[in-house]
Amino acid sequence: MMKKMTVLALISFILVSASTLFAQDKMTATSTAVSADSKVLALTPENFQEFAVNNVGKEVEIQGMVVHVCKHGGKKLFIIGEDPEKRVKITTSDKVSVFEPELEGSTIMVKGIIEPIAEEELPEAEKANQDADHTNYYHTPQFSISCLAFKTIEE
Amino acid sequence: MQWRKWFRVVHRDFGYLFFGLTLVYSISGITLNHLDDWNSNYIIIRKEITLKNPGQIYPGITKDEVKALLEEIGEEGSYKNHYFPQSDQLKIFLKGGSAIINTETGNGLLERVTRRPFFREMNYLHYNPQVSWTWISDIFAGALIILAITGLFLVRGAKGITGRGAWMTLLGIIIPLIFLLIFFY
Repeated sequence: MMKKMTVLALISFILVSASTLFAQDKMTATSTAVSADSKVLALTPENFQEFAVNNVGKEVEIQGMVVHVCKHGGKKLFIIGEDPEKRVKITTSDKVSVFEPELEGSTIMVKGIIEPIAEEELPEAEKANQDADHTNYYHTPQFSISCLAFKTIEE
Repeated sequence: MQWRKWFRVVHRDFGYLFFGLTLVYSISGITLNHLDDWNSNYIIIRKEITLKNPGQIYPGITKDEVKALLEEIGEEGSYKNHYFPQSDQLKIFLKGGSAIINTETGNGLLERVTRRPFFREMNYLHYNPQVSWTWISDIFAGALIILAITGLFLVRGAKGITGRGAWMTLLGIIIPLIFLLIFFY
């Protein structure tokens, strides 16, 4: 009996510790990292692509309205500024592992690293199921931001 | 022999310990394999809608005017934000979904998104979300290797690895090899 209780207690401890660890990662990533930092450059969706060409690997901040969150796993989202034609792709990272669909329509501030991306080819089945937002337009930007943290400015 | 006894012990206890993770990775593996056919993360319900007066939609439309439009489809309380992805399309973000409307015809699509419980969580783990999870999934992978090897030697005799078991093991190796020969090389 005591042996079973001990084993059960050990498993529970591991589960609680693991969930606490994951929760801490998420909280840290979303609540503390997006703070005023003079070394991190603040960009807009309008000037991002031009800036990114010569600044791959640099940490930046960018704010915009979320117009799309990928429904297959929440691994990427797209934001816009004043010009809806200038979309910026934001991808997940080890710090922020998933984007929730509730972010669509919200204005967020993202802190992350500029990365180059190859043009993605969508499978035919996926192309057929997409609305106007999820056409190949989303897969033509050359640079994206790997999100280290984000904060919701306006829901 | 002593080693056979230990193989049984390890196979049994690893089987218990990794039962949960085996189900997580197996079930999510199936669902992720068929992501094109079935979205295992979210339940997405689409409904066609039509606005009677699309002429009311213009590039500078205000929040209140969009809410008034939403009254036609009973979604005025769900308004969150809106924008024009293209000149003839208005996208309205709602709580729990969105609507995209053709500003010329008034026709559109209302989409409601809700999370699919259990599957979404399993897929999240399968996608290896954090560095810390990488350790656990690597340990699990190692355990599967041990389970596979110990499983070969559990049974003795005609149905064991020296008998029928050898043919079945060989078949299990040949099938992926044939696939590779046909499609990969």
